[in-house]
Amino acid sequence: MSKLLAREPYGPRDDDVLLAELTHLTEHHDGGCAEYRAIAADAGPIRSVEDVPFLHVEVFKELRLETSFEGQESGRFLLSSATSGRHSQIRLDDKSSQLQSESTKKIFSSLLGEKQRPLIVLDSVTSLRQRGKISARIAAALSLRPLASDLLFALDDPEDPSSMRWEAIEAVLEQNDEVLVYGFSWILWTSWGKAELPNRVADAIAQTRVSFVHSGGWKKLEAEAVDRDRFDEALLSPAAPLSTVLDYYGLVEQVGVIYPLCESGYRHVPVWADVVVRDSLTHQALVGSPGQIQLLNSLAWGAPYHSVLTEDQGVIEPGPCPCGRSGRRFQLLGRLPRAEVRGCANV
Amino acid sequence: MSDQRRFVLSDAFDSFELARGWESLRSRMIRQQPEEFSRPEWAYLISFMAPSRIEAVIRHGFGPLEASYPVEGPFCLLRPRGEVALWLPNNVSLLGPLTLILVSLTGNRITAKGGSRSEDLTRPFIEFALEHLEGGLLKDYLTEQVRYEVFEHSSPEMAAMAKRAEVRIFFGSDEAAAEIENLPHPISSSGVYFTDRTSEVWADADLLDDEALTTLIKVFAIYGQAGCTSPHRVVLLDGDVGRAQEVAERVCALFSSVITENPHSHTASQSFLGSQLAKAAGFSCSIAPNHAAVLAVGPPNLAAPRVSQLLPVTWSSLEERIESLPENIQTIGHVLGESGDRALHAVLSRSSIKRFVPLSRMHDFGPIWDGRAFFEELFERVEVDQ
Repeated sequence: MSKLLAREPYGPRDDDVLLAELTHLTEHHDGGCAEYRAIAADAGPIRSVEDVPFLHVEVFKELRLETSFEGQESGRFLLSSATSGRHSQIRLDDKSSQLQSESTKKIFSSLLGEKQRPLIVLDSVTSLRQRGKISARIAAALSLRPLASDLLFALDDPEDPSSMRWEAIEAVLEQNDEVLVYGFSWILWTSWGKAELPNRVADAIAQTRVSFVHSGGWKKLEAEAVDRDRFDEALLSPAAPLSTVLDYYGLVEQVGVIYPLCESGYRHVPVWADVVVRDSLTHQALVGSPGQIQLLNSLAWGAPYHSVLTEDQGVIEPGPCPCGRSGRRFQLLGRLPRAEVRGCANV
Repeated sequence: MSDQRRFVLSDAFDSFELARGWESLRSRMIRQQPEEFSRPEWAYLISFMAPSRIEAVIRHGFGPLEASYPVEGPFCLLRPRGEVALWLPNNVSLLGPLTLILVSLTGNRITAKGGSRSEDLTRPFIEFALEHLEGGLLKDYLTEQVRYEVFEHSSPEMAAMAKRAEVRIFFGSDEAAAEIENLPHPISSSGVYFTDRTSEVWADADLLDDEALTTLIKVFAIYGQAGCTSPHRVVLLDGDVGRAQEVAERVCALFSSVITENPHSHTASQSFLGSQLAKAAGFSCSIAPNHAAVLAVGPPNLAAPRVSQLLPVTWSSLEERIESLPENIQTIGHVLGESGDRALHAVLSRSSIKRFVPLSRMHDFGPIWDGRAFFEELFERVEVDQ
């Protein structure tokens, strides 16, 4: 268990404890996961967080990694959304799930408050019914469950953002002063932000304080030339005063740890996690200049996703954040540009 | 009956004049490079367009050309078939420009479809040619006879291309090739499909000096695992794990002196991924500086991950290697001394390989593609006996 989970997510850091926990996790996976042991065999001693071996994020698309340990309860596999057609598969064991749930609860509570309110999920209840698997969208929505007094799945068809159940939404809005709304960024935009709200929903939402929460990136929104200001304005203008929009960065290969965007434009790292930015060619750790983002956390027991090199680019900003949160912060710069694979027939 | 060994080009189109157009463009290419091309790609294209090579394509690829029409005595007139539909792959490389050059020599009209998910080099190459050619047959041909388009797989234009074309040339997967072949097409038309193929290097470890390894690096680096003629593995005939390890380490040590450009960040990232997948599979990996490439050493029965800049190095006896060659084997590039003859004899009689060439010639384009006489598909033969 992580001692650090008892702390405030953006309070003072104890990186010695974090390093000890990451080192312990590395040894744990080395002992229980043969593939990890083979990959990390030539890693040197761990003296700092930069020394913790890391797996490339796409390893989880190619291999179903599991770490065996005593008392392990077999869980489901969390599947990433797959724009490339290949899913990452992350094993969710009970021990890690418990820690991850506590982690997201603490992070969301620090940003949204602890008050429970209805959660409207822009997905379909049918997405829940996958034996042995859970989608990234549903997992992200359910991470808000501790703050939810009730749940409404707002789409009839998970693949059709226009299949909104407006009458059911209207009923929730009319009965509550505050609600949470979660959706993948492009679904939130398509189904709600740019949609024409039915008159009765528009009347109801004007009286309801809404906390919109979204994740999943801007790729599809960029294609529609939607920037953050337009996105937020479209969501907030019909809603009651003090409504908010929270965008967070997270990936299934780091389930349980999310990186919310603060009002000053930075992503903040909770005390039970860390971030390293690396030069793509040399893997040298960088501060203040852009590189590939490596994410670490002390929550992952069922598979070695405690230290993952993403294909996202970012830059670590030194010094305190104007928003007042302490600890590590970074800017997310988007995906690593893809190099065209220049071959011939084997597409 | 006409003499089938005497071919004459139709006077409707002057292939040699068109070849001279490409040659004149080549002299401009030496001075200027479009930013879409990498340096090795541009250099390869310039080398491919050397005057002797293009003319040789016409003289030897089309068949034993006698003279231009009219000519006395029985002969076979080569007449362009009409429209050639060309489907380029998403991981397009030089294949588009190379195929365009070759097909242009036949005088057929071309409709080329670029991959809908790719940054294609065909369009910038055509644009470069139109900008730098001062006039003449090639410029007219590219303007009037070549259409280059990009559209989605679901577009009705896919079917329209197949319906119009007398020849369908396709690069891609087996499944996608079958889809194209199933589109309605003229009964007189034909399809030429280049689907997933693999190639490998067979080497005598004793002959892999620095010069040979430099050639290996050049041949591998341009396409990585993505080219059908690119080495997907190096097999040391009668070698062992120690020799394989030594070769891998020497390739890594030489790599940055041969390929001096830094790899793209994403390429480096994917190489790192490749090294991890290979290690998980049981390979031992050597990594070139800046993650430009990964050399993965493992026994021949170990399946290697398909990652662009990952080159497995293995060892085998000749007999065992022939037995385990994949069905879609295309080219074997050899670095073999006296044992080469024995290897050639054995592999020709017991495998389906299409090419057995020196390592340095693995990527050379010739008139035979995947075992088929490419240009035969592009002409109608008119029997003439006056």
